[in-house]
Amino acid sequence: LEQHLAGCSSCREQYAAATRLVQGLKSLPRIAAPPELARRIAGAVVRDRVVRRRRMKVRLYVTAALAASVFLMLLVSYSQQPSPNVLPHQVRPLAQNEVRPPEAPPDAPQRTNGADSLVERTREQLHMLLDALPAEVAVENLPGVPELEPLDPAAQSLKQAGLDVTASLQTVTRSARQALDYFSRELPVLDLGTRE
Amino acid sequence: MRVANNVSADDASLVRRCLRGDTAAIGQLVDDYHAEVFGLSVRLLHNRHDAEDVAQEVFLRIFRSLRRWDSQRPLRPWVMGITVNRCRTWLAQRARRPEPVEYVQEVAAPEVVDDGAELAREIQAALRELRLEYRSVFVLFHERGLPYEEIAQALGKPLGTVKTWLHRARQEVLERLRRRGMIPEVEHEMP
Repeated sequence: LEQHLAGCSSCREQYAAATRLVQGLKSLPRIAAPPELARRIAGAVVRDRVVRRRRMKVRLYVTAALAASVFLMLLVSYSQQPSPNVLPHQVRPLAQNEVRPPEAPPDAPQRTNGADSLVERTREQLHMLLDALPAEVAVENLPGVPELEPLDPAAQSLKQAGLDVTASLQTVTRSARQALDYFSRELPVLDLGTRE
Repeated sequence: MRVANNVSADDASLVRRCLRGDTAAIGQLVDDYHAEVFGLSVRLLHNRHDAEDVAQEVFLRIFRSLRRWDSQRPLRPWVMGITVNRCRTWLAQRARRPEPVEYVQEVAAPEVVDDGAELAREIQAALRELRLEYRSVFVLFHERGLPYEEIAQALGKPLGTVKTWLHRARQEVLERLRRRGMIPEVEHEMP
């Protein structure tokens, strides 16, 4: 190396510069950390862990409450369904000729589908509206309005299904309201300050 | 020189204890690395107060993401990598906000005592002029003694990039030392 450096000025210059750099790096002042820094950092880390653990617990409770609400909702919905008297494996599929249309009153026209039921219910509502009219425009004075008839079994079951759905939705809305209340309690309070 | 990918069993055990919430282990990990984190932060930020804040942020980040540490890799470059990242973020934030207080040169001695101190002061001034990537590599290699492989792991860069950055950093530091007359002229032979 010495032989080469003696004959090569470029390498000699680079070597001198590198030696000088190493010398300067060795004389760089050592940076000492403040004596209290480690204790302060450790304290901050422990505090941070406690805060984060508390937040995690709150998050866990909220999730559990939501899961419980959903589970309860499903349970209530299931329990309100009409329960069959026979077990599922005991149910025998009906043959085509076994299907009987609901029996209609003898004085009513033949109704074979749900459209007729819908017409009947519309007619019923119309009748209720007409009841609310003044006496001089009473139902019997209006031409072409027949007498109201009792709902046929198909319409009755449709009405019952509607009532069941309404009852189930009440449970859902109550659970959702409770969940929202819980969330709103956990939300941080924003200090917006006062405007001058 | 340290061997890359040599994972200390002590580090792995220490991390496991920290993850279990052992307060003594947390204190030990902080004790082991806080001086290095602070020293690197001072070199990159040139301000001791900022470096203290950044060191605390670094450790909060380390403990929050300790589960993500790859136990197949050494802990030290991971810690240094987080430190460099936090310093980069801090510098970006500092650049966006106007500082009423002038940053003072706290590392270098204000008075030149001898040639060695003058040289050290010039090197520190040269480091301040380097871009952050070069400065990080230079400090990690020359002052913290990390091998190329660990610097590459810390910065998440290829080994070749690290070598290139270190070479350029040295060249720029030497260039400043030449300009400031800190490197003696070599006599060129006459042809």
